[in-house]
Amino acid sequence: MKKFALIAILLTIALQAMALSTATLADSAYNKENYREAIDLYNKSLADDGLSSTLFYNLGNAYYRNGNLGKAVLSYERALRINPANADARQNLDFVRSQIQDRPEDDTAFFVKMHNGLVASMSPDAWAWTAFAIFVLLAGAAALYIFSRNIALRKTGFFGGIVLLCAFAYFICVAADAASTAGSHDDAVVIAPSTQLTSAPRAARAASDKVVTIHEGTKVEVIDSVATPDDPVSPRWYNVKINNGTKAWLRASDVERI
Amino acid sequence: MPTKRFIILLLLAVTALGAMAQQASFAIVPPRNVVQGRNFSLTFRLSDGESAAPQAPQLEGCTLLYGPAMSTMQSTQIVNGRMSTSSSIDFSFTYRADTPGTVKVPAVSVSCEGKTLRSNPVSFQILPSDQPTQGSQSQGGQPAPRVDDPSTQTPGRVSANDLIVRVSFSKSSVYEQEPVVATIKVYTKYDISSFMPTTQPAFEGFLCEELPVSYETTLENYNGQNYHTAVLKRLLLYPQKEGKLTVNSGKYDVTIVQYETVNMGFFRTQRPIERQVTTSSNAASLQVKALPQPAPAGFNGAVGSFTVSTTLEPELMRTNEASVYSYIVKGRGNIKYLAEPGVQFPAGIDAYTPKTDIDASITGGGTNMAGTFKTDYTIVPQEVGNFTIEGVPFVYFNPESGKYETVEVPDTPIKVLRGNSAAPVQSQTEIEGSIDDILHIKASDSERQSHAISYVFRSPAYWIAYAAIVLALIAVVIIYRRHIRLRADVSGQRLAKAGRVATKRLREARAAMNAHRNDDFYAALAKALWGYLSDKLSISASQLTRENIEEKLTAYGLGHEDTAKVLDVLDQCEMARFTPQHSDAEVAGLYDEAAAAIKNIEDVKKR
Repeated sequence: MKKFALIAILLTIALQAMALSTATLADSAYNKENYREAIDLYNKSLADDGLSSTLFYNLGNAYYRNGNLGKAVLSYERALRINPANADARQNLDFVRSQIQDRPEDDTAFFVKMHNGLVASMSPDAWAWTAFAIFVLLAGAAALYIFSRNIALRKTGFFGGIVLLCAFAYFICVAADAASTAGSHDDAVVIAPSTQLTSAPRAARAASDKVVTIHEGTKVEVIDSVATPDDPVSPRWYNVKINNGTKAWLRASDVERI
Repeated sequence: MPTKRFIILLLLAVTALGAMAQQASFAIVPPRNVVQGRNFSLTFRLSDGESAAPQAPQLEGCTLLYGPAMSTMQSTQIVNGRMSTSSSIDFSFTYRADTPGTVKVPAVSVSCEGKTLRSNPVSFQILPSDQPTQGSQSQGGQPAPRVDDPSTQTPGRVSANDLIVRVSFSKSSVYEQEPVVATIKVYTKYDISSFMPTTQPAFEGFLCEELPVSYETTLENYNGQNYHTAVLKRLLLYPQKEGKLTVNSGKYDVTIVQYETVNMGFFRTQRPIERQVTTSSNAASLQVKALPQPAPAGFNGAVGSFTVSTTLEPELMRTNEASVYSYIVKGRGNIKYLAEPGVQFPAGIDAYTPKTDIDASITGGGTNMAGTFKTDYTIVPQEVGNFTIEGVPFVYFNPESGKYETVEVPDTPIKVLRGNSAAPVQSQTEIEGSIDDILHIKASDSERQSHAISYVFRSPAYWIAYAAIVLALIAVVIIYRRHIRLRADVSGQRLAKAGRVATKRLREARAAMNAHRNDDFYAALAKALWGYLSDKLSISASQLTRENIEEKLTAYGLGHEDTAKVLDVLDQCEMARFTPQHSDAEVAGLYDEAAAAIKNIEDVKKR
């Protein structure tokens, strides 16, 4: 009887060990400072078991610890794309950005920054439900206006309804924004140690072709993409906009879309 | 009076004691180098004693010309009322230097007050006389100046050979960090009245340690010429880099003294003339060898020969009581430029920043530095137990053997006992500092993973929910509108129904009349009439009184007469209920009256 109980316990433990997910194994590899292994396991988990903001955040940490700043930035950006409200990912992204060679230029206006901050403060779903809740309140105010006999209540319903309508219009924009930034694939991060931006989709031949050299971890906006079958290095070039507004071309293989 | 005598006696005694205290000594006045062919004197000095002249020593290569000559000197001085007397006798012997070479002066003895005093043996050099040089011959037949003959030091051009400043190294090739002595020496054939360096030689690539110099002049033969020489500067140098290190030449403004011969009739004398000359020193260079590579682990740039010891004071350690662990390097070499050893203390022992104490002095006749390099670590054990302070081996390079050598330092076992003093109360410190690293990972299983990231905003259900709310609102509005309309129609319907209801009730009353059930007839008639009035005039049953009905009927537009008839019928019905036994004719009459009253009310509406 005793022996049976022991075997049962051992079996349970073994089963539990088997049940450990790839992501959990990756966590323990990270904690043991096997960052290379953690990166492989996180990537495997993302491919097999699906995406999550936390997983991308952890992957970014592993990349940073392993010295791949570009990949780290990419992973944090992906974590934020899934959930803009992932505050830890934002903090680490800001920290890693402070370590990369190219200083990101910040020329966004105050209100835009405030709006972006608001968008990032909650998950897209939370924003969608907030907009919905305001809409429900708006319907309530309309009902108050329509059904009430009391003049004061009707006034409240009318003006409250107007305010709620404005609020609803803004919040539906915020929700749309949150959902659209989460879904856009227009941004890319440089993962090569450095890449030369050129004025045409081909390797720079003369000094005048060279626009600027950007380094690992810098974020660019992809505007256009062109296939270059003749290029021996990269079969595709992107037309990108860097944060000071300059548009130039770079090899698609040097960057990775978020 | 007796006191005064006593004082005199005392003074005498002190004087006698003072005289007795002075020991007679005998020594040779160190002779200086001389030039061949010149006369020189050798002087022995006997201080505070009296003796016969000693035997003249036999000097090799010299001929005794005269001696001994004696001169006596005595001095008395009173300092703070205390008198001291010293006397000395000089015995001089005059020799002629015949052959160049080193002359050893043997010890000479004299007997003084029953004791034999011996002078120390010394040696000096007889320098060969000046070699005529080509340069000096070409100067218009002017003879080259000689150091010991002012008559040759006539004014004229000062040749480069007459005044030289030389920088020389004690070794021509050294290892990095191996000490080498540089000497700046001036060679002159003239007297020098002033010597001003305008540019000092720069010792670049060296760490310098100035050595003391005695500004004594000697005679020296250099390049076949005799010069007065004096050491200007001596430096102990530690080369810091390999390769050929060159010292820039320094520039000096020198004022020399030349002698002009003046003919004063009978006499010919020399008159000194000062003359300003600028000279520069040679650019000396030194070959510095790199230390052999690879240097062994733990080598910190120590070059020389060293021994190491460690001490622990006090050896019995207690928690929270400080002990000092000293790492003492002793030896010769670049002791001043050693690095402190990185002694690591075990966990549980707090170590403070070590204090370094260097005690070094020049040795080996000013060619090296010797001393101790002591590093004190103040340590405070925090835990009770047995620990070991690992000895850090000391690695140095020995330039003599050309090899690296390692001094193994034994480990120091320590035993820590519980101390009496409590841990010092730490002053409160501000918690500050920002994160300068990424945040740690979060548990990966805290969030559900999904292959397709879906957002509520883009799901149809979300927008259907909006549509549902709008539709619900519209539906509520429609239903409400209809309800309002119905409620507005309720009184009209009642009015419309009133006639029909009354006819129906009157029919009940008529049936009761035909059956001759007179009691039932009156009850049915009253009920029909009251109900009709209630519906017709929109009066609730509770407010149905005779006065109310009269008022409402008048307001309704019924004539006074007709109103009175209605009220009369109502009164008859009430009365008949309490007075039974009515004839059939009475019943029929009342029925007709009630029907007529209802008809009149109906007619009002039609008008």
